[in-house]
Amino acid sequence: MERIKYTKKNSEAIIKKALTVLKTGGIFVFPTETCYGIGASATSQKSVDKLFSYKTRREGKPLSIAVSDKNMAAKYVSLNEIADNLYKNYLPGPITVVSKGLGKVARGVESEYGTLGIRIPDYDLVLDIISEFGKPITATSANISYMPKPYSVEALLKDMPQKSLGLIDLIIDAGELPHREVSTVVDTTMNNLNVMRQGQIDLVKKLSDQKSIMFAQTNSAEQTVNFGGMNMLKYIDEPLDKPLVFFLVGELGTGKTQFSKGLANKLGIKEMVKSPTFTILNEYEYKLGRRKGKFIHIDTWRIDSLKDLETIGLNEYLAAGNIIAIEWADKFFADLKTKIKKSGGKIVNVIFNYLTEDIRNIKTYE
Amino acid sequence: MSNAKPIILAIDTSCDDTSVAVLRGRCILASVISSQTELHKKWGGVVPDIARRAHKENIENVYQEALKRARLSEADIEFVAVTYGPGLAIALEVGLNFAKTLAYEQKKKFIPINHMEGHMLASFILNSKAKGAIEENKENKLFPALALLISGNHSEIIYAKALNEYEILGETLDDAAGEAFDKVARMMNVGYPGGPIITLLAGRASKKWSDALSGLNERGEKKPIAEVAGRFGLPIPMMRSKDLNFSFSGLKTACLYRMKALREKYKKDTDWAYDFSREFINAVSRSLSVKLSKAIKLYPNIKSVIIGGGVSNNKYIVREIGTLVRKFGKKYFIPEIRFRSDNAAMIGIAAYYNIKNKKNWLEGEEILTVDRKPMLRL
Repeated sequence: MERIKYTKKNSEAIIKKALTVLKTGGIFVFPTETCYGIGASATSQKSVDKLFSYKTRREGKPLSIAVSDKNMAAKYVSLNEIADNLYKNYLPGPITVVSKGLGKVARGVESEYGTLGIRIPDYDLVLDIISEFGKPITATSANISYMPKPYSVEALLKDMPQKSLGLIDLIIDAGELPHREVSTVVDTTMNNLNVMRQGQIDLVKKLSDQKSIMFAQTNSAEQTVNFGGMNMLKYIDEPLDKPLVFFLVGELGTGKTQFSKGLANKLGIKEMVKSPTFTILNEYEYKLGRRKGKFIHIDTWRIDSLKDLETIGLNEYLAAGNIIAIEWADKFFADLKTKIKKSGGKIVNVIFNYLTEDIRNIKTYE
Repeated sequence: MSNAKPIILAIDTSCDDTSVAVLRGRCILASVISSQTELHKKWGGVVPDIARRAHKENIENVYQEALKRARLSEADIEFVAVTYGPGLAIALEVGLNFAKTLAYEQKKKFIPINHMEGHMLASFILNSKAKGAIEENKENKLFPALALLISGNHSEIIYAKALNEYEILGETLDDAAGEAFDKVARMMNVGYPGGPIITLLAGRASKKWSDALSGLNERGEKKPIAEVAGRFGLPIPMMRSKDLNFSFSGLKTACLYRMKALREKYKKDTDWAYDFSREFINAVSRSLSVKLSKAIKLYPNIKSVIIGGGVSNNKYIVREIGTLVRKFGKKYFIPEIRFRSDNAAMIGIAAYYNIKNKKNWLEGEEILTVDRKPMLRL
């Protein structure tokens, strides 16, 4: 192992040594604008395997990679609008942008879901090494698993097992780095707006051929709650032998949760009905005359597929007497509809739109 | 209690992370969170199927790692504490089942803990050298207290008459504070999760705007919003409501509308996003501080204000609330950064006080009767 002190004057020599390490399947420690990182050629299986041995623990967890610019990034991931936005405005800098990977890096670098985190370090020496190398390097912090993030080489080497120490080929020592926090990880693969909007357009198009059953223009949250209550009243006498499912479709902030509050109020639920975005699913018990069951409030905002809904118990909830309200139901509309029809459930579609900031247009269809 | 400083193993799997901690009394011996054990931070949101799988795969590893770091063996554990609610049902089950099995089979005492009591008491954790903001045996002097708990799923003001005696004074009527960050980040097209990225963007706000928003008047109070508004005019949620509840859905709608207009006006130039992020944080922060201030006035006898939850990682919010609490001359406590977001150490400290004050642990067959409570309240 070689350890070189980085002075502003010897960067050329250092770049040369780093390139040799990268080309021969080695790993090296380098400074960044956050903590010390450990680099290996991200496209070489031999190098990445060596890095995993160094880290001592793998557990199928992904690595992130460092590139020199957006063009290099575009060769390894597919960049959507959100990612474009982040690259253009905030990189280089302490942000790791997660995108859908193209499978062009060594095994174990992308996550098991095929996503890949990319960073452009705001540190000239590192950018020079990467652009000379012409390919991405790994950008994980230099500590071995479970140890603190290192801001000096001394801190890194303290208590390091011999086995890991012996694997390092080169250390670029830039002294004590300012203790800036590690990079913020931003996922750009969730809730792709284009996909979601498409779902909604299809659904609205299909429904627009029909006549709406109920309609309201609400200009306060309270009125939206009331309209939810009116909808519940209309369907409260539905037969008890099948579940009743409300598909709630509309942009952020159009009143889907307020509407659900109205459904719950009419069912006599006393608990506060809050947004289920974070917990994905909230479950309440109701009893109304001879009708009783569960009121299930679901938000699909943070989930990807119908399978996930089944995992949290959709199949069990699709039972007689239960009333289910699903926000963002348009996300997997067709599959969901088929499933509910199969269970014998009745579907009520509710479409939410803004007219102005205060006025919403809400229509109910069957 | 057989020992003044029991060894407590604590587990939390209420949502995204698998966490296991070991405490000796109030002292933290080990705190392991699954996302730290990965080579890099965990990516993506909570996909339930994935969350469950991750917990199941992780929990044994994280448990072993926590014991190893605490330099203890399974036999040393006296109490097993675990979150039984609130949270995502399928995620809660994984931690609860693991803890129940461990406690029942290994004949440990078992304590189910409310996740929110954990956030409430996270400031009481001492480091391994028994140092912390709150000295031992001085806890009672801090009560009655108010707590402001702000996370991805909660925004609550709690009146704590004493340790383990709580009453919810106010809570969100719709979205939680952390959720508002996620949703606004999505409108801005800057990815997930929203809190860290919006805070990062706010850091690039123009100095003039940032100063204007954090400006204090000569009495050390925030200037009325009318004096600083003008750029985007975001509303301060629930400013005029008389109760102590929060609501962030109106702010969300206002953001959506302002952004539509900004995009039309500035086209591809997105520099407004920095000032916008700063103003958004200001709106959330002011809403929290207005209600907290109201609560302190209603309960002037309180001795301290305790903060908890992941949103307290936001430096702007913490600064504003800290200033407010000090203005009232109350003691102010906020957990160490590592104990603000979900973690098991806070479950351990809550268990400690349950053991000490209420002696409400379970043993034997009783353990198996405990069920998850996804909608549990304090």
